[in-house]
Amino acid sequence: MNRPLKGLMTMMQIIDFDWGAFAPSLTLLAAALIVCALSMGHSQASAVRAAWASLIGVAAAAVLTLMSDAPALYFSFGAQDADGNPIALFSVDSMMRSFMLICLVSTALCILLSIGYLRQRGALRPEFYALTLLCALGMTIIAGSQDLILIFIGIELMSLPLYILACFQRGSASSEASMKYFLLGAFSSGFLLFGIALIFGSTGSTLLQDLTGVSSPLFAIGLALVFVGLAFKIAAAPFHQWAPDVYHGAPTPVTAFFASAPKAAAFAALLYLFQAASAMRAEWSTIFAVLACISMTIGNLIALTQKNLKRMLAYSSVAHVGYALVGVAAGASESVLFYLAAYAVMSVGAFGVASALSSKENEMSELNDYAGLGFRRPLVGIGMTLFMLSLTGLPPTAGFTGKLLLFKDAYAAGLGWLVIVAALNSALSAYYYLGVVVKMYMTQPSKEPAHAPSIRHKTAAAALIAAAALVFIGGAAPKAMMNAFHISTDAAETAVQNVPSEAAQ
Amino acid sequence: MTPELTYRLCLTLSAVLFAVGVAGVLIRRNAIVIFMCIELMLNAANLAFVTFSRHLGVLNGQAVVFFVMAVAAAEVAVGLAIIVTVFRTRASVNVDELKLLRR
Repeated sequence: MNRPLKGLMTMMQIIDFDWGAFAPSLTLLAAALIVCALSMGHSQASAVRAAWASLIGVAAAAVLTLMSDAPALYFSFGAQDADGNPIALFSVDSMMRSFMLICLVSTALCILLSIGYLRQRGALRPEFYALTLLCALGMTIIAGSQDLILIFIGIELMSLPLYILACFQRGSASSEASMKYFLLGAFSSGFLLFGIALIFGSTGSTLLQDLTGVSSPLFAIGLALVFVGLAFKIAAAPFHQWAPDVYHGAPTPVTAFFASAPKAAAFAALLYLFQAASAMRAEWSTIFAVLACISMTIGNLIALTQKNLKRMLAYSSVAHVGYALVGVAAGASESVLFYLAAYAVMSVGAFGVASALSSKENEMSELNDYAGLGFRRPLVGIGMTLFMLSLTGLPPTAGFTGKLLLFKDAYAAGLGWLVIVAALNSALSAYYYLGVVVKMYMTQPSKEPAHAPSIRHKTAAAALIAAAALVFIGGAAPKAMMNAFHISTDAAETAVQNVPSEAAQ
Repeated sequence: MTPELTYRLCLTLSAVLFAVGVAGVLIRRNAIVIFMCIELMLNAANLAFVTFSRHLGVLNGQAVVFFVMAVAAAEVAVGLAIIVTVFRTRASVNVDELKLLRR
């Protein structure tokens, strides 16, 4: 076959594939470009239009994700194996859909939170939403990728906008947070990439499917470097030092975003890789169990000492990454998915309360700012209490169901000691989470402010109500939440059904 | 030089470059120098990709390098902008002086 004809064939193959798999990502890209076009205006009105356009884009992407219900759509960019069958570089399966939905839901909630916050500070600019959409695009690429290089590109596409979002509100703290995030993020990308290079060297391929059954020293070192890179991205101890500073310094709606969607996306990469590298699963399971143990303990112990709500929640997010890693160590991907969904909505809720209450004068990031708030703003008090209960893992909340599923699967996988450590840690964490509730209902502010902080923006209130509803549904009707996030319920269902019988014993 | 020797030398060079990059990030205190060390890490990975690609006779590794170069260029654009923002607010890019958020 002569060259031009062959080129044409390849082109046809590329065009011929099922675009359905890629439709949500393309929608996000289109929305980002539209928002860029809107940002010509540089007025408040154009920024608000951009915010709504980005919300519509995220919603459309979520609908397209739900519609692509075939179990294995793929997008191969013309890649073929030896027999001429297309190789999936990007595929749609049930796990991918769950990860996409978690990321898109938390992105939408953070967009809603950001409008009022940024407007109050005169920082409402359309670029914010273009960056958020590009970040979401990166997450969707990670969620669907079946190839290490695609994962790397997805992670970079997700991280670069995050560095900019961290310093969106110009100021010393914000730019300092951004620089720390950037330097450590790029550092971890270096580990990730070098690890991928070594994996490529040991297998001759970057496809996840080719990693099955490989075990050589070079491969082990490569995998270790990749996991170190990902541990930085999810802020698991001992790679968590950047998180408190970055969460503290970034604008609060952006912090809510950091804690939810990118973390879930990085977990997607971690889970895919853990499942693909099957030959050394036992060793990695032990390493993740130790990592989970360290994360939970360090996160909770340091969170106990914090006086700043944002820093406290940052350390608590380190602890929550530890809980999710318990599930990774046990190989229970459904429970990890449920936990990530639950953590995404409850952390967006907790940071969202701080973001919605804050004003230009009072950032509402110190714990003392919440003294006596429970009585003066009853609805806010109830919402915050719900989020704190969920973070502790008490019923009837999504956090409780999530922990229950994780602990059950970990116990079934023979990690009994880890379940005990995790349960002790949950008890420890109750001290500082419920400390916030005590602060709201049982203390008085040192000096009575002229008017108590309140939620001034309808969009922020809508986001908080949605988050609270999801947290409550996750606790009261876990199955509904699993269906909403397309988490396959085979394993999870039995665990939930067993609860009443065990409680009775 | 035999191809095998070249392969080994290139891999060693790549590992050394990576180690120098990591050490630089951990030791140096100037944000720009740290950033340059990070670029060194990425280039070490590029060299490893090309070496493995040639050794194994698969072209994938060489194609990957183009993606990495594009990503690194984007990272430079974002990173230098952030460093400039920090420099504007406090006239220093020493990471030890970034203590506003720590207590």
